[in-house]
Amino acid sequence: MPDIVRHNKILGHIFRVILGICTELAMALFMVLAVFAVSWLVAG
Amino acid sequence: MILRPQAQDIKIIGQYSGKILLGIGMLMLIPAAAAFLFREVVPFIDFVIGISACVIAGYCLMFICGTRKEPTWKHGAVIVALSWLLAMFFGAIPLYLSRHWGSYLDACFETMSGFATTGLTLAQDLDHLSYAHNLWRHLTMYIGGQGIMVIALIFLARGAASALPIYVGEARDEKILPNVVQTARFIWLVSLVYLFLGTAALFFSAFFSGMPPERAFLHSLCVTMAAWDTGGFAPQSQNILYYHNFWFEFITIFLMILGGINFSLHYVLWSGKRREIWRNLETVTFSITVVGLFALTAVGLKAAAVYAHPWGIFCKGFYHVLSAHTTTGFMTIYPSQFAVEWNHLSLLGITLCMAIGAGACSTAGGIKVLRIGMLFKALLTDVKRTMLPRSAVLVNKIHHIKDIVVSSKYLSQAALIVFSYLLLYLIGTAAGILAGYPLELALFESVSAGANVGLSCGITTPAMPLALKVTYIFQMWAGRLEFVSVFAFIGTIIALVKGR
Repeated sequence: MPDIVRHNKILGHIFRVILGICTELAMALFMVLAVFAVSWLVAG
Repeated sequence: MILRPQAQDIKIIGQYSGKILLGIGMLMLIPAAAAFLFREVVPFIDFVIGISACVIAGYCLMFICGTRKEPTWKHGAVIVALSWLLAMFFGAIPLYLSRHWGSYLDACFETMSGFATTGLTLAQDLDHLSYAHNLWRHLTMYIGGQGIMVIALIFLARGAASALPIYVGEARDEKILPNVVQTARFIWLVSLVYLFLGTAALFFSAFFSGMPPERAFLHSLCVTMAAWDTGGFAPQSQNILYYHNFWFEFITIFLMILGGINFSLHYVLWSGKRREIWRNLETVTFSITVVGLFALTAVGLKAAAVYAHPWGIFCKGFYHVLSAHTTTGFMTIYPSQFAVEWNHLSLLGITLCMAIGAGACSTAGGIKVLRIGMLFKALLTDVKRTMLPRSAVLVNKIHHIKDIVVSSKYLSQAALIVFSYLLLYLIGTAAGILAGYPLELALFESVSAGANVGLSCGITTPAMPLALKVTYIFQMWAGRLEFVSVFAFIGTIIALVKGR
């Protein structure tokens, strides 16, 4: 975490929320890729 | 002996139901403002009538049932079930006045489908519905997904003590923050953040595909509300198929998954504990069932030779598996294609997805993956127990936000809810068969209604029998509230008639 974010309460909170959203999106992308692989295994 | 509810009990229930009705009237101000903005004169009058009805009925209830007593657990459950019915009856008024619904019952069906985030529709000539009415349809989903009571708690609750029974009554058994009003506020914060992000992403997708900006904004807003709240309504009769846009489908996939995540998990992730997503029993179970049931559906689609290329199976198969699993109900094919082109195996895959549903304490319906994961873990522990020496001590533990030792009380509660859902699916299936539909289609549509999904194989049309419409309304209502409030409401009615 950058220093300016670490020392500012509001910025730190916003930073954590953005990282949280990115984590959720990464999980969704992971699921899409897993299913894409399965679709090629089953139907390819 | 059944005890008849006292006048004080009726007053508390009436008082809070009146407040909720007032809230519904206030929410109608949004589509009324849209009608004013887009110069839709007749729809504006429809909403003025709707608002007036809500305000008059709400104030009458509050005046007649004037009391300062706080609701208890028993009252909370009845208030929730009754308020949902009142919201349906009063929310249907502007829709019925638009003449796009064949009868008042059809409009009630639409409103319950919206509030319960189901997405089954009985609208006629949807493609020519006014902006204001379309916005109201989607707004019912946005309100219902987070919970009618959750929004009411933010504005109407006098204190956390009175709010808790009502919050729990709406099938939300997880307190994210110590105070239930703060919990309600957090739920709305997450929803508003994703409403903004989703609308912006879809707007750019629609705008750069050639849609006029005003129309692109309204469509993006409506589709985001329906996707995030795992609802399934769309502004056009062809649902998501209307857009023929890869990015529209891609973005809605993400919104559906995010809408199916438990609000407690959103809170933990947004608080910085990001590893939770890979350890949580809910996300693990959800990932396994999505991939597993997609494989089943894909094998079915391959055997049926509907789509020649794996890309077609991925696009159509995955979109509908995810739409069913998150209980959204978005479609990129015509309803009749399920019945005509998809075979039994692929329909079974989709039906199982719908029955299971997504995260508990999310906007999704169905049995919920947490219960499935918990019961499966208990089964595994039992199998292990039989294989180990008698003296071995085995603890049934799951990880959901924190490590939880699953007691037999938890398990029996989960099993009871699963059993209630299966019974609900069975009731709708029997009603469908009695109406003359084949078993697999009756089961498909019944699970879709009971699990608040909204995928249709063509049974849900304005021409379907009246009894089936009433059955599906009951299924949507009971499925969304997860039974307890509905049982309490029915019990109170029986006690009023037969009690002493």
